[in-house]
Amino acid sequence: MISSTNSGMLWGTVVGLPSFALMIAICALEILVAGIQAYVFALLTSLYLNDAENLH
Amino acid sequence: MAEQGKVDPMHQFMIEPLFGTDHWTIAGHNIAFTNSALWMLITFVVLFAFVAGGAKGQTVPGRWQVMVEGLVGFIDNLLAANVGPKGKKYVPYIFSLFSFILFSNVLGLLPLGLIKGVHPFTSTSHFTVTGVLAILSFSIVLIVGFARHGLHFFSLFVPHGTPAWLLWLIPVIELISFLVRPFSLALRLFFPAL
Repeated sequence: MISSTNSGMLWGTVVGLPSFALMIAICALEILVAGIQAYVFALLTSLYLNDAENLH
Repeated sequence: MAEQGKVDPMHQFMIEPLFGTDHWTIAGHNIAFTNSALWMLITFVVLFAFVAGGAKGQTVPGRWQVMVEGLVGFIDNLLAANVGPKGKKYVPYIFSLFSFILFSNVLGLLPLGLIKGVHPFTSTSHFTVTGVLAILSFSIVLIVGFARHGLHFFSLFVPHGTPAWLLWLIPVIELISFLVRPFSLALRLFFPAL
């Protein structure tokens, strides 16, 4: 990313900017996954507890 | 720009003992304090500080109190929707579970590696940690199930409306799907190791 910016306006725009945008997007995705993992674990545990508490 | 040095993508998952390698043993097993243990401890401290900072009980809550109350309210709603009024007593457990996993994940994502000498580590990226959490949840289900319903708990394996001629098959399938739950819980958390 830094190399492409250093090699001029053209490569900086064509290579550097998309890579930067992609990195930001992937970081956002990772944060999303972190939240979803915790949510799914809590949700499934509560579903299993429901099975144990309310038997039919 | 020259070579930036080789990046080892697996290095972030390495368990490294920090101290106690030489003489901390239980029954012949070394129990050194590892980076995983350190980050679980950090997760606990950060979580404790987060909750303590918001547990002011003010009638007009500040921003911090709203954050903590929002998180607790979210778990409370989750249990109320899925278990009903009997789910109230599980709020502390599910809250601890949810926020531990969330904080551990987020702490591992922080770009702390930029500070020299700091190696961020996600403790929930290891099967041992997620496995223990899953076994804990599974044991609670078993204990609660048998304590509340006794042997009647086994009727879980015969869903309502099972035709009599399928009674030889359905309980087997239900039993397998029940026993697979802890693995399903643990693997789901560990496998997309982020």
